[in-house]
Amino acid sequence: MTLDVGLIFKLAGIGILVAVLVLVLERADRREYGQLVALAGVTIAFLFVLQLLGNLFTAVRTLFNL
Amino acid sequence: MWILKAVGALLIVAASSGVGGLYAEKFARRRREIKAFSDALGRLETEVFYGSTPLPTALARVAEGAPRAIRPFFADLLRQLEMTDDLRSSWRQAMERHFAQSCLAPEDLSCLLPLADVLGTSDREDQRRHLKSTADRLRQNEETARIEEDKNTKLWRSVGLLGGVALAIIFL
Amino acid sequence: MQILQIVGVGLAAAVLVVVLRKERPDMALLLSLAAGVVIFLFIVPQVAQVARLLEELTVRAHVKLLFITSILKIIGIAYLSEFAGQVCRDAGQEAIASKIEMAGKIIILALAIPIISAVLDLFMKLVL
Repeated sequence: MTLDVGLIFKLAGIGILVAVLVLVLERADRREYGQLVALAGVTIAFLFVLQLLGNLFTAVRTLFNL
Repeated sequence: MWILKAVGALLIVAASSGVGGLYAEKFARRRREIKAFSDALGRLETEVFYGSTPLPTALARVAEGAPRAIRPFFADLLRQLEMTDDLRSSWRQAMERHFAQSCLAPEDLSCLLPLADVLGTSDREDQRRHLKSTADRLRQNEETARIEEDKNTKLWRSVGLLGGVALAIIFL
Repeated sequence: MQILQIVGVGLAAAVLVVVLRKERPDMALLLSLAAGVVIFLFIVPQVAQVARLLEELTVRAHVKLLFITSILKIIGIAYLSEFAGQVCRDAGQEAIASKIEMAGKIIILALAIPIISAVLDLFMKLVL
Protein backbone atom coordinates (compact mmCIF):
# COMPACT_ATOMS: atom_id res chain seq x y z
CA MET A 1 0.00 0.00 0.00
CA THR A 2 1.58 3.31 -1.02
CA LEU A 3 1.97 6.02 1.56
CA ASP A 4 -1.12 8.18 1.19
CA VAL A 5 0.49 11.36 2.44
CA GLY A 6 -2.11 13.42 0.63
CA LEU A 7 -4.79 12.20 2.96
CA ILE A 8 -2.88 13.37 6.03
CA PHE A 9 -2.46 16.84 4.57
CA LYS A 10 -6.08 16.93 3.47
CA LEU A 11 -7.22 16.16 7.00
CA ALA A 12 -4.85 18.75 8.43
CA GLY A 13 -6.07 21.29 5.88
CA ILE A 14 -9.70 20.66 6.76
CA GLY A 15 -8.85 20.93 10.45
CA ILE A 16 -7.07 24.27 10.04
CA LEU A 17 -9.81 25.68 7.83
CA VAL A 18 -12.51 24.66 10.27
CA ALA A 19 -10.56 26.35 13.06
CA VAL A 20 -10.23 29.55 11.02
CA LEU A 21 -13.91 29.55 10.02
CA VAL A 22 -14.95 29.05 13.63
CA LEU A 23 -12.77 31.99 14.68
CA VAL A 24 -14.15 34.23 11.93
CA LEU A 25 -17.74 33.36 12.77
CA GLU A 26 -17.14 33.79 16.47
CA ARG A 27 -15.72 37.25 15.90
CA ALA A 28 -18.83 38.21 13.92
CA ASP A 29 -21.17 37.19 16.75
CA ARG A 30 -22.36 34.06 15.01
CA ARG A 31 -21.13 31.41 17.42
CA GLU A 32 -23.89 28.97 16.53
CA TYR A 33 -22.81 28.89 12.87
CA GLY A 34 -19.27 28.27 14.08
CA GLN A 35 -20.28 25.27 16.14
CA LEU A 36 -22.29 23.91 13.22
CA VAL A 37 -19.29 24.28 10.90
CA ALA A 38 -17.05 22.56 13.47
CA LEU A 39 -19.48 19.67 13.73
CA ALA A 40 -19.68 19.35 9.95
CA GLY A 41 -15.89 19.40 9.71
CA VAL A 42 -15.51 16.64 12.28
CA THR A 43 -18.13 14.56 10.49
CA ILE A 44 -16.43 14.90 7.11
CA ALA A 45 -13.00 14.14 8.60
CA PHE A 46 -14.47 11.18 10.42
CA LEU A 47 -15.86 9.81 7.16
CA PHE A 48 -12.38 10.05 5.65
CA VAL A 49 -10.85 8.25 8.62
CA LEU A 50 -13.62 5.64 8.56
CA GLN A 51 -12.58 4.67 5.06
CA LEU A 52 -8.97 4.39 6.22
CA LEU A 53 -10.00 2.24 9.16
CA GLY A 54 -11.85 -0.07 6.78
CA ASN A 55 -8.61 -0.55 4.85
CA LEU A 56 -6.78 -1.18 8.11
CA PHE A 57 -9.20 -3.85 9.25
CA THR A 58 -9.15 -5.62 5.89
CA ALA A 59 -5.36 -5.61 5.88
CA VAL A 60 -5.11 -6.93 9.44
CA ARG A 61 -7.70 -9.60 8.71
CA THR A 62 -5.87 -10.94 5.65
CA LEU A 63 -2.50 -10.57 7.30
CA PHE A 64 -3.18 -12.44 10.51
CA ASN A 65 -6.01 -14.66 9.25
CA LEU A 66 -8.26 -13.49 12.01
CA MET B 1 -3.24 15.68 -14.02
CA TRP B 2 -2.31 18.08 -11.29
CA ILE B 3 -3.01 21.11 -13.43
CA LEU B 4 -6.55 19.85 -13.85
CA LYS B 5 -6.84 19.69 -10.08
CA ALA B 6 -5.35 23.17 -9.71
CA VAL B 7 -7.82 24.64 -12.20
CA GLY B 8 -10.69 22.83 -10.47
CA ALA B 9 -9.62 24.11 -7.07
CA LEU B 10 -9.35 27.65 -8.42
CA LEU B 11 -12.84 27.43 -9.92
CA ILE B 12 -14.35 26.16 -6.69
CA VAL B 13 -12.69 28.89 -4.62
CA ALA B 14 -13.64 31.59 -7.10
CA ALA B 15 -17.26 30.45 -7.26
CA SER B 16 -17.63 30.25 -3.51
CA SER B 17 -15.97 33.62 -2.94
CA GLY B 18 -18.28 35.05 -5.58
CA VAL B 19 -21.34 33.75 -3.80
CA GLY B 20 -20.07 35.14 -0.51
CA GLY B 21 -19.38 38.49 -2.13
CA LEU B 22 -22.83 38.62 -3.74
CA TYR B 23 -24.50 37.93 -0.43
CA ALA B 24 -22.38 40.60 1.24
CA GLU B 25 -23.29 43.06 -1.55
CA LYS B 26 -26.96 42.91 -0.57
CA PHE B 27 -26.27 44.79 2.65
CA ALA B 28 -24.42 47.54 0.83
CA ARG B 29 -27.20 47.81 -1.74
CA ARG B 30 -29.88 48.20 0.89
CA ARG B 31 -28.03 51.09 2.48
CA ARG B 32 -27.53 52.76 -0.90
CA GLU B 33 -31.20 52.36 -1.84
CA ILE B 34 -32.39 53.83 1.41
CA LYS B 35 -30.15 56.84 0.90
CA ALA B 36 -31.37 57.18 -2.68
CA PHE B 37 -34.99 57.26 -1.54
CA SER B 38 -34.18 59.64 1.26
CA ASP B 39 -32.49 62.07 -1.14
CA ALA B 40 -35.31 61.69 -3.65
CA LEU B 41 -37.91 62.54 -1.04
CA GLY B 42 -35.87 65.61 -0.08
CA ARG B 43 -35.82 66.77 -3.66
CA LEU B 44 -39.52 66.09 -4.04
CA GLU B 45 -40.19 68.28 -1.07
CA THR B 46 -38.11 71.09 -2.59
CA GLU B 47 -39.77 70.77 -6.00
CA VAL B 48 -43.34 70.75 -4.75
CA PHE B 49 -43.21 73.23 -1.92
CA TYR B 50 -40.56 75.70 -2.96
CA GLY B 51 -41.07 75.34 -6.70
CA SER B 52 -44.82 74.77 -6.60
CA THR B 53 -44.51 72.32 -9.45
CA PRO B 54 -47.45 69.94 -9.97
CA LEU B 55 -46.86 66.46 -8.62
CA PRO B 56 -46.36 64.48 -11.86
CA THR B 57 -43.77 66.97 -13.18
CA ALA B 58 -42.04 67.06 -9.82
CA LEU B 59 -41.88 63.28 -9.73
CA ALA B 60 -40.44 63.20 -13.24
CA ARG B 61 -37.75 65.72 -12.32
CA VAL B 62 -36.86 63.79 -9.17
CA ALA B 63 -36.66 60.59 -11.23
CA GLU B 64 -34.17 62.20 -13.61
CA GLY B 65 -31.78 63.06 -10.82
CA ALA B 66 -32.19 59.79 -8.95
CA PRO B 67 -29.57 57.01 -8.91
CA ARG B 68 -30.08 54.18 -11.36
CA ALA B 69 -31.27 51.81 -8.66
CA ILE B 70 -34.56 53.54 -7.98
CA ARG B 71 -35.28 54.98 -11.41
CA PRO B 72 -37.37 51.95 -12.43
CA PHE B 73 -39.67 52.69 -9.50
CA PHE B 74 -40.30 56.23 -10.64
CA ALA B 75 -40.72 55.17 -14.27
CA ASP B 76 -43.29 52.61 -13.21
CA LEU B 77 -45.03 55.15 -10.97
CA LEU B 78 -45.28 57.75 -13.72
CA ARG B 79 -46.61 55.22 -16.19
CA GLN B 80 -49.30 54.15 -13.73
CA LEU B 81 -50.16 57.79 -13.02
CA GLU B 82 -50.62 58.48 -16.72
CA MET B 83 -52.99 55.57 -17.01
CA THR B 84 -55.09 55.89 -13.87
CA ASP B 85 -54.33 59.38 -12.53
CA ASP B 86 -54.76 57.94 -9.02
CA LEU B 87 -51.61 58.64 -7.02
CA ARG B 88 -52.57 56.49 -4.07
CA SER B 89 -52.95 53.18 -5.93
CA SER B 90 -50.15 54.00 -8.38
CA TRP B 91 -47.70 54.65 -5.56
CA ARG B 92 -48.72 51.48 -3.77
CA GLN B 93 -48.48 49.27 -6.85
CA ALA B 94 -45.18 50.76 -8.01
CA MET B 95 -43.77 50.38 -4.50
CA GLU B 96 -44.81 46.75 -4.20
CA ARG B 97 -43.42 45.93 -7.62
CA HIS B 98 -40.15 47.67 -6.83
CA PHE B 99 -39.87 45.96 -3.45
CA ALA B 100 -40.07 42.54 -5.07
CA GLN B 101 -36.73 42.95 -6.83
CA SER B 102 -34.90 45.39 -4.58
CA CYS B 103 -32.73 44.91 -1.51
CA LEU B 104 -34.99 46.93 0.77
CA ALA B 105 -36.17 45.47 4.06
CA PRO B 106 -39.84 45.29 5.10
CA GLU B 107 -39.31 48.09 7.60
CA ASP B 108 -38.13 50.37 4.79
CA LEU B 109 -41.21 49.50 2.79
CA SER B 110 -43.44 50.36 5.74
CA CYS B 111 -41.79 53.79 5.84
CA LEU B 112 -42.38 54.52 2.18
CA LEU B 113 -45.77 52.90 1.53
CA PRO B 114 -47.85 55.31 3.70
CA LEU B 115 -46.73 58.18 1.46
CA ALA B 116 -49.40 56.94 -0.95
CA ASP B 117 -52.09 58.44 1.23
CA VAL B 118 -50.16 61.62 1.88
CA LEU B 119 -48.92 62.93 -1.43
CA GLY B 120 -51.21 65.23 -3.29
CA THR B 121 -54.07 64.89 -0.82
CA SER B 122 -53.82 67.11 2.26
CA ASP B 123 -52.58 70.69 2.48
CA ARG B 124 -48.98 71.72 1.88
CA GLU B 125 -47.82 72.03 5.46
CA ASP B 126 -49.28 68.64 6.33
CA GLN B 127 -47.59 66.99 3.35
CA ARG B 128 -44.31 68.66 4.25
CA ARG B 129 -44.50 67.34 7.80
CA HIS B 130 -45.22 63.86 6.57
CA LEU B 131 -42.40 63.97 4.06
CA LYS B 132 -39.99 65.22 6.74
CA SER B 133 -40.97 62.54 9.24
CA THR B 134 -40.63 59.84 6.60
CA ALA B 135 -37.21 61.20 5.66
CA ASP B 136 -36.17 61.10 9.32
CA ARG B 137 -37.30 57.51 9.74
CA LEU B 138 -35.52 56.59 6.53
CA ARG B 139 -32.36 58.17 7.85
CA GLN B 140 -32.61 56.03 11.01
CA ASN B 141 -33.02 52.95 8.86
CA GLU B 142 -30.05 54.05 6.81
CA GLU B 143 -27.96 54.20 9.97
CA THR B 144 -28.96 50.67 11.02
CA ALA B 145 -28.36 49.47 7.47
CA ARG B 146 -24.89 51.02 7.56
CA ILE B 147 -24.06 49.31 10.86
CA GLU B 148 -25.30 45.99 9.49
CA GLU B 149 -23.32 46.50 6.33
CA ASP B 150 -20.10 47.09 8.27
CA LYS B 151 -20.74 44.03 10.38
CA ASN B 152 -21.67 41.71 7.58
CA THR B 153 -19.72 42.40 4.38
CA LYS B 154 -16.34 41.34 5.70
CA LEU B 155 -17.83 38.32 7.42
CA TRP B 156 -19.65 36.88 4.42
CA ARG B 157 -16.78 37.54 2.05
CA SER B 158 -14.40 35.64 4.36
CA VAL B 159 -16.90 32.83 4.84
CA GLY B 160 -17.28 32.53 1.07
CA LEU B 161 -13.51 32.35 0.52
CA LEU B 162 -12.77 29.95 3.38
CA GLY B 163 -15.69 27.72 2.55
CA GLY B 164 -14.47 27.54 -1.03
CA VAL B 165 -10.98 26.51 0.07
CA ALA B 166 -12.47 23.89 2.42
CA LEU B 167 -14.61 22.45 -0.36
CA ALA B 168 -11.62 22.39 -2.71
CA ILE B 169 -9.57 20.51 -0.13
CA ILE B 170 -12.32 18.03 0.57
CA PHE B 171 -13.12 17.22 -3.03
CA LEU B 172 -9.71 17.41 -4.68
CA MET C 1 14.01 4.50 1.30
CA GLN C 2 10.94 3.48 3.15
CA ILE C 3 11.97 4.48 6.62
CA LEU C 4 12.60 8.02 5.44
CA GLN C 5 9.10 8.31 4.08
CA ILE C 6 7.63 6.94 7.27
CA VAL C 7 9.67 9.25 9.46
CA GLY C 8 8.74 12.21 7.30
CA VAL C 9 5.03 11.47 7.41
CA GLY C 10 5.14 10.75 11.12
CA LEU C 11 6.94 13.97 12.03
CA ALA C 12 4.78 16.08 9.76
CA ALA C 13 1.65 14.55 11.26
CA ALA C 14 2.96 15.12 14.79
CA VAL C 15 3.57 18.80 14.11
CA LEU C 16 0.16 19.24 12.53
CA VAL C 17 -1.49 17.48 15.47
CA VAL C 18 0.18 19.88 17.88
CA VAL C 19 -0.96 22.83 15.79
CA LEU C 20 -4.55 21.58 15.74
CA ARG C 21 -4.75 20.34 19.31
CA LYS C 22 -5.34 23.75 20.89
CA GLU C 23 -8.17 24.91 18.66
CA ARG C 24 -9.78 21.68 17.53
CA PRO C 25 -8.68 18.70 19.63
CA ASP C 26 -11.25 16.52 17.89
CA MET C 27 -9.65 17.06 14.48
CA ALA C 28 -6.21 16.53 16.04
CA LEU C 29 -7.30 13.13 17.32
CA LEU C 30 -8.63 12.09 13.92
CA LEU C 31 -5.42 13.30 12.30
CA SER C 32 -3.18 11.28 14.62
CA LEU C 33 -5.40 8.23 14.12
CA ALA C 34 -5.17 8.63 10.35
CA ALA C 35 -1.39 9.03 10.49
CA GLY C 36 -1.02 5.85 12.52
CA VAL C 37 -3.22 3.88 10.13
CA VAL C 38 -1.45 5.21 7.04
CA ILE C 39 2.00 4.28 8.40
CA PHE C 40 0.82 0.81 9.37
CA LEU C 41 -0.76 0.22 5.98
CA PHE C 42 2.54 1.22 4.41
CA ILE C 43 4.35 -1.49 6.37
CA VAL C 44 1.82 -4.25 5.74
CA PRO C 45 3.62 -5.87 2.76
CA GLN C 46 6.74 -6.41 4.85
CA VAL C 47 4.75 -7.87 7.73
CA ALA C 48 2.97 -10.15 5.28
CA GLN C 49 6.33 -11.39 3.98
CA VAL C 50 7.55 -12.22 7.48
CA ALA C 51 4.29 -13.93 8.40
CA ARG C 52 4.34 -16.12 5.29
CA LEU C 53 7.98 -17.01 5.93
CA LEU C 54 7.15 -18.12 9.47
CA GLU C 55 4.28 -20.25 8.20
CA GLU C 56 6.52 -21.88 5.62
CA LEU C 57 9.17 -22.62 8.23
CA THR C 58 6.64 -24.27 10.55
CA VAL C 59 5.31 -26.42 7.73
CA ARG C 60 8.82 -27.50 6.80
CA ALA C 61 9.65 -28.27 10.42
CA HIS C 62 6.56 -30.53 10.52
CA VAL C 63 5.06 -28.62 13.41
CA LYS C 64 1.27 -28.42 13.53
CA LEU C 65 0.16 -25.39 11.52
CA LEU C 66 -2.40 -24.62 14.20
CA PHE C 67 0.33 -23.30 16.48
CA ILE C 68 1.81 -20.76 14.13
CA THR C 69 -1.58 -19.50 12.94
CA SER C 70 -2.73 -19.10 16.51
CA ILE C 71 0.41 -17.20 17.34
CA LEU C 72 -0.01 -14.94 14.33
CA LYS C 73 -3.62 -14.26 15.30
CA ILE C 74 -2.51 -13.43 18.83
CA ILE C 75 0.07 -11.01 17.49
CA GLY C 76 -2.60 -9.35 15.35
CA ILE C 77 -5.00 -9.00 18.27
CA ALA C 78 -2.27 -7.65 20.51
CA TYR C 79 -1.24 -5.08 17.91
CA LEU C 80 -4.79 -3.91 17.22
CA SER C 81 -5.76 -3.58 20.86
CA GLU C 82 -2.57 -1.71 21.67
CA PHE C 83 -3.12 0.64 18.72
CA ALA C 84 -6.68 1.37 19.74
CA GLY C 85 -5.74 1.69 23.40
CA GLN C 86 -3.02 4.21 22.60
CA VAL C 87 -5.36 6.28 20.44
CA CYS C 88 -7.88 6.35 23.28
CA ARG C 89 -5.18 7.39 25.72
CA ASP C 90 -4.16 10.21 23.40
CA ALA C 91 -7.78 11.31 23.50
CA GLY C 92 -7.67 11.26 27.29
CA GLN C 93 -9.95 8.27 27.60
CA GLU C 94 -7.87 6.06 29.87
CA ALA C 95 -10.96 4.11 30.90
CA ILE C 96 -11.88 3.07 27.37
CA ALA C 97 -8.25 2.30 26.59
CA SER C 98 -7.89 -0.10 29.51
CA LYS C 99 -11.19 -1.78 28.61
CA ILE C 100 -10.02 -2.37 25.05
CA GLU C 101 -6.71 -3.78 26.20
CA MET C 102 -8.43 -5.97 28.79
CA ALA C 103 -10.72 -7.35 26.09
CA GLY C 104 -7.69 -8.02 23.89
CA LYS C 105 -6.00 -9.96 26.66
CA ILE C 106 -9.06 -12.09 27.27
CA ILE C 107 -9.48 -12.93 23.60
CA ILE C 108 -5.81 -13.84 23.39
CA LEU C 109 -6.23 -16.12 26.37
CA ALA C 110 -9.22 -17.78 24.73
CA LEU C 111 -7.21 -18.26 21.54
CA ALA C 112 -4.31 -19.72 23.46
CA ILE C 113 -6.43 -22.39 25.12
CA PRO C 114 -5.94 -25.01 22.37
CA ILE C 115 -2.19 -24.48 22.47
CA ILE C 116 -2.13 -24.69 26.25
CA SER C 117 -4.23 -27.86 26.30
CA ALA C 118 -2.02 -29.41 23.61
CA VAL C 119 1.06 -28.63 25.67
CA LEU C 120 -0.61 -30.05 28.78
CA ASP C 121 -1.56 -33.23 26.88
CA LEU C 122 2.02 -33.62 25.73
CA PHE C 123 3.27 -33.03 29.25
CA MET C 124 0.85 -35.60 30.70
CA LYS C 125 1.96 -38.14 28.10
CA LEU C 126 5.59 -37.57 28.97
CA VAL C 127 5.12 -37.68 32.72
CA LEU C 128 2.51 -40.41 33.04
